[in-house]
Amino acid sequence: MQRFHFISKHRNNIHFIDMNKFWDSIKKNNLSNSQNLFSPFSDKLDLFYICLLVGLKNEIKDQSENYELSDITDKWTLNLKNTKASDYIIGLYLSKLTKNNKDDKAKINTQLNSVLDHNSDTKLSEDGLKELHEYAFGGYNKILEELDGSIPSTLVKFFDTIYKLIK
Amino acid sequence: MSNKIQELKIVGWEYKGFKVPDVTVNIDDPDNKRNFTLYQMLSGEGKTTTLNLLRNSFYDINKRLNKSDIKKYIEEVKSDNPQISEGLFELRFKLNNEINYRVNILFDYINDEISYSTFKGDSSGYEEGLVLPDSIKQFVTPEFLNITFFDLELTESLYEADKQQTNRIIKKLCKLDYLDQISNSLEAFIKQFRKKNQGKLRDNELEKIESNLEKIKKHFEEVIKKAEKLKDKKSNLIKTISDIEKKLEAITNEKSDIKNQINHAKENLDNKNEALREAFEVAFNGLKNPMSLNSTLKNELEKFENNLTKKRIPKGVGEAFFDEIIDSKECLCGHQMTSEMQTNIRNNKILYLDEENIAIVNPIKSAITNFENIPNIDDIFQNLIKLERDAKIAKNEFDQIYQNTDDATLKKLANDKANLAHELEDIEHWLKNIYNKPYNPQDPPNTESFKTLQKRISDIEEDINKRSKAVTESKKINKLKQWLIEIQKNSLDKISEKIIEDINKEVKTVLKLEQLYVESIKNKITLITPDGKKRSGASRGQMARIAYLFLINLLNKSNLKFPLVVDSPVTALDAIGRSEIAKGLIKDHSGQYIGFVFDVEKEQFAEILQKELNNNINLITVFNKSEASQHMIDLADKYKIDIYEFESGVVAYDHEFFNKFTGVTNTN
Repeated sequence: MQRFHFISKHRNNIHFIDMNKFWDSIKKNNLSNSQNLFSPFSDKLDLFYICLLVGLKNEIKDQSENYELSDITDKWTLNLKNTKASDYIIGLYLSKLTKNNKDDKAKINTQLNSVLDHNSDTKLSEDGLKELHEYAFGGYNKILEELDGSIPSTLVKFFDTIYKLIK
Repeated sequence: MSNKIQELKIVGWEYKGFKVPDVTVNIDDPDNKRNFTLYQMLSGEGKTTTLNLLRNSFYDINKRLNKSDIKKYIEEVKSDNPQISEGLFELRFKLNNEINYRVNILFDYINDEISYSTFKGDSSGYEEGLVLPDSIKQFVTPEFLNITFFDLELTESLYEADKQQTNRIIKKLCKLDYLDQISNSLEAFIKQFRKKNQGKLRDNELEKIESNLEKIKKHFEEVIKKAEKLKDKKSNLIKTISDIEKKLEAITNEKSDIKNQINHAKENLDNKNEALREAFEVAFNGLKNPMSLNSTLKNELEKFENNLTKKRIPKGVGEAFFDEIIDSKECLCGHQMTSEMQTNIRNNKILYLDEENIAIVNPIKSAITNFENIPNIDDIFQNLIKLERDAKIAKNEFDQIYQNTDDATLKKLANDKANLAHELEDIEHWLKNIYNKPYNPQDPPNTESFKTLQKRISDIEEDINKRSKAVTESKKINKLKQWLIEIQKNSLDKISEKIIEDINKEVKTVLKLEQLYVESIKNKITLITPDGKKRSGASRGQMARIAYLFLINLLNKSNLKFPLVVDSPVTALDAIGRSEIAKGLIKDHSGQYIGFVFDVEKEQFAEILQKELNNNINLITVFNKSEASQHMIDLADKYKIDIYEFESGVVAYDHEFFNKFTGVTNTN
């Protein structure tokens, strides 16, 4: 089954902050004494989505082969679906994919057919999902770079970083 | 005596010069077949002190605490009489029911020092220090003693991930830490190997590098120890702060003027926090609607949508439609189908999107066309720092109100809370921003960053291996060490699975009213309901009963029968829980059990133990004569207890007296 993944380990860099650890620093935590008490993030896919957005906006990809991965979910969360975020993000991906063949209808159709899969809960084919992960991992690296390779000290710091990368 | 020690049993102890009365206590063990003892003291008379003294008799407190903590500990236990300059606690125990041991802990109240001496056998065999047989020493670590001398009020620590209690305990009891020792031997081997080569190579630098490596490694170990201590402290601080908050709430609820001020400050704090929470929510909504957030992305998506529309995409036709035309004799236009026409149709059908994918592309197009702008989204992001500052100010004001109140108790609690919160903040800062910070080659030599130190050690080792021509050997050793880690992990998983299975078999008996099962014991105990849902809020009683099952199960896995000494063994448990715990202990625990009970804990616990064990149990009562009310002395006299045996306290072994004893004056 096709799934979304987190980076759980960098194959060549033991100091790399894995996505699970990063997730712990921004997720909602009712027992926390920090801003995480008010965090809007409750699903791991929220972080994946944000990384993907940063990756697509900045057009950065990173190969999955560099990492060991851990499973998160096999479908878009209800929250991302209902807010149309999953539609925007797939749209953005398809736009990047087809931008060099704007005038070639046949090529556009071929490309769309190759990355979409109506049978999958992610709406993407194996190839499409692979490339989506490359953008997400590229985005994650960009976020880490902006945070000097570390987890954000507060949620405000996280939002501030993402804002700078999206604007 | 054979070297194999199978059992250790406590046979008594003696106190001199503590807050606890100066008495001697004997734990009878007729025919070596009596395992159960209940030790009754009134609240505040020294149960916890005794538990700690017993625990400290097996592990040198000087290794665990620093000077200032030892001073604090001495203050807690020392006699209130200023004339007394030292305290002595003597613990007596037997190994394999044969060899007598006595451990003396001497408290020097003048110099704030603690020292040990050990007596092996009945006459000779005195040694300075705490000198236990190796086979006992290898078990006895602070983690081990924390569960064998268990304060049931601390059950919660088994349910906290931060403490990682469960894994440490299993490793120790099931001897998985032997694998660490093998790993250390391998490390020692490679060091020796390098040294041997070093002699041959005459590399002057090598010696310096080796010595530098040792220094860094020592520093690294100290930093890890510091981190463990601070993690422990963090967890205790969180608990203490939460207890203070409950007390503060109780006091403020009673005093209306303070309550009003606090309510006002609380309302302000809640409003600021709510504003921050809402801003986070809106900011995330902005990220979920990238067209609102960034005009370039908006234009890009709109162009993409326009282009698809212009190209009449999606216009979908199913694969079967084309196949049918290709197979038919005539085309749709009425012409006879030729092979050239068939090839053209095959080639051109890709101009059409798969019918099924229309269902994906259409919603994307309509989301783009119908997007709703989120007004002022940029302001929200830009205001986050201000909102964060407002919330901090409101929090400070809220804390100030507590600290400036006229109520002395409230003021003290508020001050304590502020100090503890400050301490907690410092610890969290160190753990997050110093200990856990990423590797940085610019870090100073005395850095406390785990990753930087780890990387430095690995770099230096690599350099040493190259210089001393030990690269191949080192690689092999590292591989072996990696395997040992994997073996330890797999073994831990398997043992944990078995423990979970065993605990869950007993759940039906121990938790009759509401069944909860153990889901995992990795780092901490987590619970699930019978239908598999996670259960985070079990009652203290439920948690305590499961903790008992866990501890007994673990102790049974060890080859050494070590006493299980429990403070407040059935506190916060209802009658069913108490009697089930008593029955479970008799059924499952095969070693010595000593329970330190309050007078009110006896019901449904002591009586069940007595009944089920046919009275083969020690029931000991100890009370302080100077603080005792006359009714206790009278009651002791009535049961012919020797109330003059000790000057400051009374020790009674009579079962009926044990059952009748109470701190409340009005007794029959």
